[in-house]
Amino acid sequence: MSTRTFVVEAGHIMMFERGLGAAASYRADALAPLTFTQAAAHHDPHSPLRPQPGTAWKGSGRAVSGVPTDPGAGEGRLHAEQHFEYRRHVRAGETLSMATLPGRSWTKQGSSATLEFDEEITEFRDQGGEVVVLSRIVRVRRR
Amino acid sequence: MSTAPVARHDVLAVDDLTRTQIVQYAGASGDFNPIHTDEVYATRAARRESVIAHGMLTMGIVGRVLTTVVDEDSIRAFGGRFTAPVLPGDSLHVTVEHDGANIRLAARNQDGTTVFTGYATVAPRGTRPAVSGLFSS
Repeated sequence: MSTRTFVVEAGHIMMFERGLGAAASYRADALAPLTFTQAAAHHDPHSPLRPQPGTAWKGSGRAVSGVPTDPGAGEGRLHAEQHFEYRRHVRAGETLSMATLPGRSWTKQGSSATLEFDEEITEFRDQGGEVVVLSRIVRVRRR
Repeated sequence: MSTAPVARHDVLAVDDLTRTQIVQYAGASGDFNPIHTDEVYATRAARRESVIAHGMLTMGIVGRVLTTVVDEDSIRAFGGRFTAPVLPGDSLHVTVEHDGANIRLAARNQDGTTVFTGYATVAPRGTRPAVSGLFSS
């Protein structure tokens, strides 16, 4: 389990709010939206959710995909469920530490395929070491 | 024993979701999966009708509506399932039903298809309900 740091920045909150369709303005002490910790992907140096320099990216360029052997042509694991627990809500100016661990895995027989589910749990702690937000993602893949 | 009345709020949260909105969300969230942002990839590699919105964009929009109904600081849990894809051009109708501490949430598109079903729980100000602390040291 690796621990990473997530600096909660006011400008990032503004952009995130605009991403949700709000006419947001910069507030130095902004309260982060309920789902803002999802943007911690920006603070993961190895996030698979964005192109990494020197590594093939599956989006289009000269070809329809930069990864010709992309299995399932991009379906991969789909976000099936998302759950948050809050002890309190975070604000701009805080620095959180975050740690992610795998959770449960299970399968379910669908009408046309076997569905494989797996959980990923991320814990966000404040500078005092207290857990402030827990995020549980359930992803599903068809087999 | 009396039960609290159920209050229901229906909001047209999005009318005609644009690809630009999806790209804005991708940039802010850090999720650049081309299934969400790259029409060429989505249609010709993934063989979908078009790009699809992030589930977390839908959930975030539901969260925005939720926090117009209850104080964000009072929310202790928020979650749900993504039940159908959301596409460019879709509308999102968000329903918030609450009877005290428990809130039921849903988002439906213009055809009435439920694309997200969820829940939230709220607590009075000043209380600090336990968070699981799965990795407690």
